[in-house]
This record gives sequence, C-alpha cells and structure tokens, in this order.
Amino acid sequence: MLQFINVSKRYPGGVDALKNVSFELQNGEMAFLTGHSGAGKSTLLKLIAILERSTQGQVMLDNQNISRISKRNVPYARRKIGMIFQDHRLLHDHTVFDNVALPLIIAGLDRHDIKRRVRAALDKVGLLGKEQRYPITLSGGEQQRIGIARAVVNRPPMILADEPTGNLDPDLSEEIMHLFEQFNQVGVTVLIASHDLSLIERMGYRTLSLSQGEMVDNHG
Amino acid sequence: MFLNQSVTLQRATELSTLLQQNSNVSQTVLIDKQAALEEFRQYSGFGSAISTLADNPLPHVIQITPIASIDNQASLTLLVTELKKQPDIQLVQMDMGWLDRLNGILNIAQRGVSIITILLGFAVLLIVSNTIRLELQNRRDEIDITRLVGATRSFIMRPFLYSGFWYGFLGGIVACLLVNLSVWLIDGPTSSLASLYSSSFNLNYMPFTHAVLWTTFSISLGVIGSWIVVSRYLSELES
Repeated sequence: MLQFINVSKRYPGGVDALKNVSFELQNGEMAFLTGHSGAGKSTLLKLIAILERSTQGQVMLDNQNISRISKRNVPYARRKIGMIFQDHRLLHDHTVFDNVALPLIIAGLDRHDIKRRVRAALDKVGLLGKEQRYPITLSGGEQQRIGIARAVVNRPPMILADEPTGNLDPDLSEEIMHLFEQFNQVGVTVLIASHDLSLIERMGYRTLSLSQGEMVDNHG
Repeated sequence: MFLNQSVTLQRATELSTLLQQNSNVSQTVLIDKQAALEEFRQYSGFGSAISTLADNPLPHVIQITPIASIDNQASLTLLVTELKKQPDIQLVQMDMGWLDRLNGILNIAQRGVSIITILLGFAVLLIVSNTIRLELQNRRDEIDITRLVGATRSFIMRPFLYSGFWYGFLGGIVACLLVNLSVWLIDGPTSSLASLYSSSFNLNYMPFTHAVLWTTFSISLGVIGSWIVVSRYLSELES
C-alpha cells in the first residue's frame, strides 16, 4: 500500500529532514511511527499527504509515485488517505454533520448517499445523534472522533494519524486506538505517528522509529 | 442674417420662407425691425435715447438654424457662402466660435468620461480582489482543511468566483443607478442652460441595453479579479 524507497528530503537551507528512508506497509497493515520532535516524523507524514515533495527517492502510494505526481492529480491521490490530526482541524462554524460530510461533498456524492454514509461513520465512532451540534460544544475526545469519522467516511484504503491522542487522557487515548484497530480489522491500512511509547508497546503493532532523519528501528 | 435697410417687411418674409426650403436649413425665424427695436428698447437700457431717433436704425433679421446633421465647420461655411449670394443681404453672422467652443468642451468631457470609466474599472478590479483577499484570509483554515481532504482547485475556487460574480453584479447595478440618479439631478440645470443657448439639448437616461452591457462588463471584472487572487493564493500553497 505504502512504500518509501530511499527517500531523502532536504529543506531549503540545507537541513536534511529525512535521509535515505526505506520501508513498506502492506495492504491492511497497522503500524506506529515514533521519534523525538525533529526526528523527521512530520516530514514523513507531509510526504505521504503530498504537502511536501521528496528531494530524492520515491514515495509509492497504491503503486503510484506520489512524490512526482502532477499538481492536478494531487487531490485525487489525497482522497486515498484519511488524515487525522492532533488539533482535529475541524470547521468550527459548521455542524458535526457538515464536517464529516466534507470529503463526500468534495467527491460529488448525492445528498441521499452523503446522509447515509455520514450517519454510518458517526455511528462507528459513537457520535450518532450529535449531527447538528457544533464541534466546539463537544469534548476533546469527541472532537477527535469527528476527525476520525471525517477521515473514514469516504472509505479510504489508508488512514494516516498524526498524534491522534496527543491531547487526550490515557483512557480516551486507548479508546481512540481501539477505534483504529477496528478500522484495521476491516482491511484499512493504518499508520499512526505517536509519542506515547507505553501505549504503543501495549498495543503490540509494528513500530517504525525515526532519529535525526534516519530509520533506526523497523520491527513488528 | 442681417438684411439691407431698404428691404421691406414683405420681401423679408418672402426671403425667410424661401430659405426655409433649403435642405440644409432646419428653421428660420424672422425678427422684423419694429419688433427688434421694441426688444432693444426694453432690454438695452437705452430706452430714452432710442425714443429720440427719428427712424428705426435696425434692419430686419432672419435667424437661421442649420439642420442638426451639419456639425463640421466646412459644410457650415459652405452654407454661409450660399446664403451670402442672395441679394438684399448685408451681413451673415455665424455663431461659429460658440459652436467650436461647445465642440471643444464636449471633446474634453468625452475624454474625461473615458478616463473615469477606465479608472473606475481598475477600482472595481482592485476592490473586488481586495475583498476576496480578505475573505481568503478569513477562510484560510477552511481552505487548508478542504485541501487536505482532497478538494480540487476548482472546488476551492468556486465559492470565491461566485462572490466575485455577485460583487461585480451589485457594483454594476449600483453604478447604473448612480448614473441615472446623476442624470436626474443635473437634467433640470442642463436643459435650462441649453435653452439659454436656444438649443433643445437634453440629457438621456441610460438605455436598458447599455445598463445590461455595463453590468456584464462589471461582472466579468469581478470574476476575473477573484480568479486572479484565488489562483495566486492557491499556487503559493501548492507543493
């Protein structure tokens, strides 16, 4: 599903954020990405989200080299990845329903399908019945679930989560992680960047570790 | 056109009717010497001096209005030469200077209007693009988020192009209303000024087709302005 082949990223000014990184995530695999701040985690995620382009090497997503994809095709490649962020990135002047429906509206689905699939996604994350609320009126954990519902609503083959539990207490973190496990069980490839080493250890999935731009540990 | 002193009123009337038939003349008015003297007595302030005169020193006058399609000097001069060939005529006085001045003023006004039009067009572009830029700033998060969940360029641009359309539309309509309002406001003064020059010059309200044309123009400016701003913004964001 996702493959990094000798990927390097150098930012203008000569900072090497990633050095010759290679790894592969199989279809339906779940893995964690760890590393200290500045180790290159964000850069790696940005390369997958096509917010940055690699300086060298190839980033393959679903057999497509997304590091050399044309600008016109970027949006379509992004639709294959459901992205989840530490700060949720919700639209605060829109209801929960509208937030979750956004990817479907962009994809041009009809109203009836949108309604059905939004409800299904909200049901999965346990927020059914709160469609007409505004995100700000919900708790941090619930806001993160809105983000997760939005990421999975158009059934992408891959989920990418950047510190999804960064602001949550341990119990809530565990709940969110189990949610990811459930998606993984139905065949979605999941990559989660996280600091929370003890939680990662308890979950027992493959872990990719970055240090100073290099892949230092890749076990599973 | 001043006639010779010796010309009788009857001959003057004949001449006036004759000239009326000239294809370049739209109207003739005969001012007979008696009426002219009365008028002069009344308005000049020489009333008592005139009373002492033994006989009327004024000639008969025929006032000639050329047809409106004669608007250049050459054809007017031709008409004057033609008139001078008539017997019994002492002097043909043409208000040419006045006409030249009027044409000059009209030319300047026309240029002025063109310049103002261009400036206003630029103003519309600038105002619309600035408004759109503000809107972009306000909706920066929204744009980032929709981009992250796979929105295409056109999906993001569409609402801003709609805004540009409506700004242009409103601007065009308001401009047309303002033009008609100003016409309404200065119509009275201009017609009274024109009547002082014994002209029936009149200001026209903007015809409907022009209003439609201007609104369309303004709409295109609005859409083009917002398109430029949004596509520049998105190009900066794109990796």
